[in-house]
Amino acid sequence: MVSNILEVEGLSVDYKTPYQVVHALRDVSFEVGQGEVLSVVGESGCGKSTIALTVSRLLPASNARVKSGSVLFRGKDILRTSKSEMDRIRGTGIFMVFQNPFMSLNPLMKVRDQMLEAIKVRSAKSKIRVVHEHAETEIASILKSVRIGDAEDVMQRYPHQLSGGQNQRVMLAMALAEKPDLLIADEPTTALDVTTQAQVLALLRDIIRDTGMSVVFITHDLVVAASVSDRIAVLYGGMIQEMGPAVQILTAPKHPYTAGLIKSIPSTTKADGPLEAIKGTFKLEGVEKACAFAPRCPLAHDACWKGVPAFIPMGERSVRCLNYGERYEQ
Amino acid sequence: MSYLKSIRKLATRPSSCIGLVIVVAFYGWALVEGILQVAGTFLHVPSLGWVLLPYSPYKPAISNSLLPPSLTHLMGTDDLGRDIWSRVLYAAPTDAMVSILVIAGGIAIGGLIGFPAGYFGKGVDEVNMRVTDLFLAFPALILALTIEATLGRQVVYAIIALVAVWWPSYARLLRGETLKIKNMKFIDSALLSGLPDVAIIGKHVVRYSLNTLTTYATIDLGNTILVYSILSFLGLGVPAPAPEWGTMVASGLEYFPTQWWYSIFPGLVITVVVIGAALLGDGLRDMFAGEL
Repeated sequence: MVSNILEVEGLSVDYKTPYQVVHALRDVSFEVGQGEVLSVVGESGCGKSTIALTVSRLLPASNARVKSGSVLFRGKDILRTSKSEMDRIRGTGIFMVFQNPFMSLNPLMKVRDQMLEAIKVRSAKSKIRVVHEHAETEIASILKSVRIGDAEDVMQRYPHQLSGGQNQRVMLAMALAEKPDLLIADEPTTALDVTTQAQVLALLRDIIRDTGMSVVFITHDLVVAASVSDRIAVLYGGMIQEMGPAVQILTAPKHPYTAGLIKSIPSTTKADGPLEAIKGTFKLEGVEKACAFAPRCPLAHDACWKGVPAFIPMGERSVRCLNYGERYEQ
Repeated sequence: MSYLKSIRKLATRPSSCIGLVIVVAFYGWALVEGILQVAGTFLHVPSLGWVLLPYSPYKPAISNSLLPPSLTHLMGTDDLGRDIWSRVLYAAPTDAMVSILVIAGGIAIGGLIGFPAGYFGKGVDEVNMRVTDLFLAFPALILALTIEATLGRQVVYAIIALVAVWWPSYARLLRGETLKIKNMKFIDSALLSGLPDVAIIGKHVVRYSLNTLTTYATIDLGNTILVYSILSFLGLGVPAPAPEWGTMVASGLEYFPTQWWYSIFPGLVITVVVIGAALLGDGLRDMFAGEL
């Protein structure tokens, strides 16, 4: 039996601004199986991070509102659980790695103390006591396993004395220390330079393979997504436009937006003219009444403006495009 | 950066160095003299309290009354012929203790009110800060006077009265700090690693606000001494014949300005300590901001 760790069903989230209400997520549904890696790919402002914040229940209370939908974590709706239940889930249940590693570690605490905190949380939740000396050696071994060579030295340092890549490794080490069921990685490599990015990605892949944790990987880079994940969900305008196995999405995109994204990946093997790009920028107006991508779509026709296309299942994949059947959302 | 290194860095700036010397001298002396006084009380040898002083702070010598400052009496003598310099030194432990306990009490209560207010916001914030406003709405000195006059003339009551008017500013300070810290990403990541709110406040928020708190508290040390002296100046300090800086200024006023030294010197000592604390606090702030 394949049980799902995370099931997001019909999730809609609004942000209130002084001028208007922005529908950041509209009817987003996906599930993450045990040990599965799902990538959420999309451009800036498409709602990627909102998914991460909603699942971890960190949405800013002042202006964000979950309009409808549910987020089931191990069958429990975390949007409707109590604060204390959420505290239990966080850490050992759901752990999150943020984009900027410099800001997600307390600048006034040594790496060792922050790691110790993670281990304490785990031992408090699993009711297995960890002796202090054991914790120290465990920290060192975890740090080594995220390929920090001089672990004993790094433990005694403050985050500002480490590089971005090292800090992100420490964050991953904290994730390892807590052994969560679900890891949410919100653009974990975006703030790093390209070589470090590759190292951290390779590390992340190994961690996923060794621990078998389920991961929601949020990125704007389709290639990165395909390299770490089993399935990919392409997000545009707050809606999932296409979802399916990573290889199929990358090799045979169905949605024009995904196709556009793939065409705009620089290739090193051939030099055939200027790099293609998707024309225009995302427009907020009219997304409720038509296909969100229609204003920029090379294949758009009259039908695309008549309503929001339905999410059409096609085997393992689903796509939200009228070219695959003229069906609209109710 | 080690503490020793920080202190050495602080001492390179003249104004901070002066502040550091004054504060260390004052609290160092207060500690030594305080231990002697307490030991004297317990061993029933009160004179142990003034073995380090040039004269006894209690023994009257009417023939020496109101002598001007000289080499034998550095700050002159009072109406009963007691050496003012000895009395000033003898009173130091009380002022040091009052200032530290008042600040500690203010931080404790202010923290208990301010941290949750800033961290949880909403209802907790409203309730806590309105209570704080209530205390701030009274003129501080009058509130302290009222409390101490009701409770009685004892150092303990003076401390209670001062803490009652002192904590609101710490509650506001720490609430503001918490609001700033709460929005930092590492708080989110601590929350996401499953740390309960109490632990986040205790570990991350308190630690992050220590810089600001230290600076503010250091500058404030002088203020507590000043206000305590005002209380005793108005007749609510330690009862006579125990020496007290504010009381000495007050009793000297009868002889002002002809026997000016009686009031001026105790007053001057208060001023020096207040300025010392302010200079040190100023230096600490610049040091924490990385400007030193």
